[in-house]
Amino acid sequence: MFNNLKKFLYTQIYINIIANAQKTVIYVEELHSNGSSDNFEEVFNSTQRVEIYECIQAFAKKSPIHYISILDNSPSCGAIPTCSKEDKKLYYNSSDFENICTPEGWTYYTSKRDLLELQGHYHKVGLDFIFSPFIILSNFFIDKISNDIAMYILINEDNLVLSVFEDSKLFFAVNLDMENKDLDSNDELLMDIDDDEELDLEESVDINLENVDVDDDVELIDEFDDMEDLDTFDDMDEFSQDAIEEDSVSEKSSKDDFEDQNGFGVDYHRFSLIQSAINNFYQDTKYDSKFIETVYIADSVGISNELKKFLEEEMFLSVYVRKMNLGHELCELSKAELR
Amino acid sequence: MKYSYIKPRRKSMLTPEIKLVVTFFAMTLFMLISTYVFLLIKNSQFQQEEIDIIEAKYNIERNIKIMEIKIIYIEKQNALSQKIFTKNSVLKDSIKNLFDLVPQRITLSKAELLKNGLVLYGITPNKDVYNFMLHAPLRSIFHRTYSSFYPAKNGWLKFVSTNYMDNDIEKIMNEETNDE
Repeated sequence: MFNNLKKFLYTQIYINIIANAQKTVIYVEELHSNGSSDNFEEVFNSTQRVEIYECIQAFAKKSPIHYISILDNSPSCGAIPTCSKEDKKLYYNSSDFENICTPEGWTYYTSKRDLLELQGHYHKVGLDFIFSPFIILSNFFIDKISNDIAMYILINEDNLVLSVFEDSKLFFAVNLDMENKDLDSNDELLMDIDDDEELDLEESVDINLENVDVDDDVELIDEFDDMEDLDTFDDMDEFSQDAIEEDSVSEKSSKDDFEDQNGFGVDYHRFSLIQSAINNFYQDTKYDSKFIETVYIADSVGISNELKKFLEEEMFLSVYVRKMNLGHELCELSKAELR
Repeated sequence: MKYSYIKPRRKSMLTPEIKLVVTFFAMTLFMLISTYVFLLIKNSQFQQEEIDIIEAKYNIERNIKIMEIKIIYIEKQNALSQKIFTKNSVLKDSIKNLFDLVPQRITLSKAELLKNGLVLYGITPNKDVYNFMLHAPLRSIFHRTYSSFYPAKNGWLKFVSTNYMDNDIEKIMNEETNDE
């Protein structure tokens, strides 16, 4: 009754923060007592901390009933296919991690230190909810995860959240940082795919795209435009080797030009990460691996069609892409939490 | 279901504006209640005073009645005193007249005034002086007069004169007549 009175008297404001390395998105939803709602979205450069706080405070001041949610993008977050305390020890040190067990029998977790860091970062405005991207992903594909085995991927600016579900049961989950260069398992995967082919994925994956100087090697970019036509990884190998040999003097300007010209390089990087993750799923004995044929992608950044093509043509997966407004999903989760 | 790693902060409904409005209304309400309580107390006091006044009025009225009764009593006493005074005056005059009746040759030694009679003790030189100078006026005043003499040591006569008015006899006679 008291909550209903609150709702009747005040507008409920849900402020949702998606903080990435480059930009921070503030998605706000105002629920008025008459049932109507307004949405706002503000995008800031992540370095503009003062502006971000002012924006959040401006919305928070509108009503005492406001909830500030944030997506936990920390690299330590993850999910495991068990709720058993004993089994959890196989995956992480439970004393250092905060975890929540779902009714479906899987657990998502994150580092307590990262949570404190996140709360400290926003201590001026305060936080009400910190949500794991894994629970957002499972909620977003709630209509799909109860079906046959499939991989579900949440594509964010800085990371990929990847999980494998069958009949609502989690088989595998991993949070892949886009900046992470440690992709040890990629070579294993590709060697498994075709040992006869002269692939050296280690080198191809270890490409630091920031080091690629496009201006100095425009022909190489043209080759990347035709990536969908690649039948083998030979060309990629060639590309990667060439790229590594580039002069590092003009790396910053070349990076900007590269990103401006086409996002497929980033998508290729994502593809590589997904490949490595799938390989890890197949290889790691901790996980009960099954063959994956379908991939559902929750696209929160606006990926190009290239990634889908990579996955379909290189890994023979059926790919379905669903647009996602991450702020909206955070908001829905906040509402669900409050119910 | 719990989705978040942390719990939401407590949300207070009291914004500064709401606090101001609540304070204003609380003060207004407090003043209204205070006024009401003040009036209630005053009303109670007035009612108590009214009861006291009514009681005082009743007491005064009762005192007035008592005083009226006393006044009537005093008036009666006054009337009685007037009557007594008159009677005393009459008695005084009677005694004065009595002493005026006594001639210089007869000396009274004692006089007893009865309700309806007079007893005189005295000395007379002889019976004649007594009979002519005292007995005659006494007889004219009283209905019945009895005299007795006995000799004194100096040769004079001591006398006792008993005189009655006949009112009692008449009353007795009347009562006897009524009884019959």
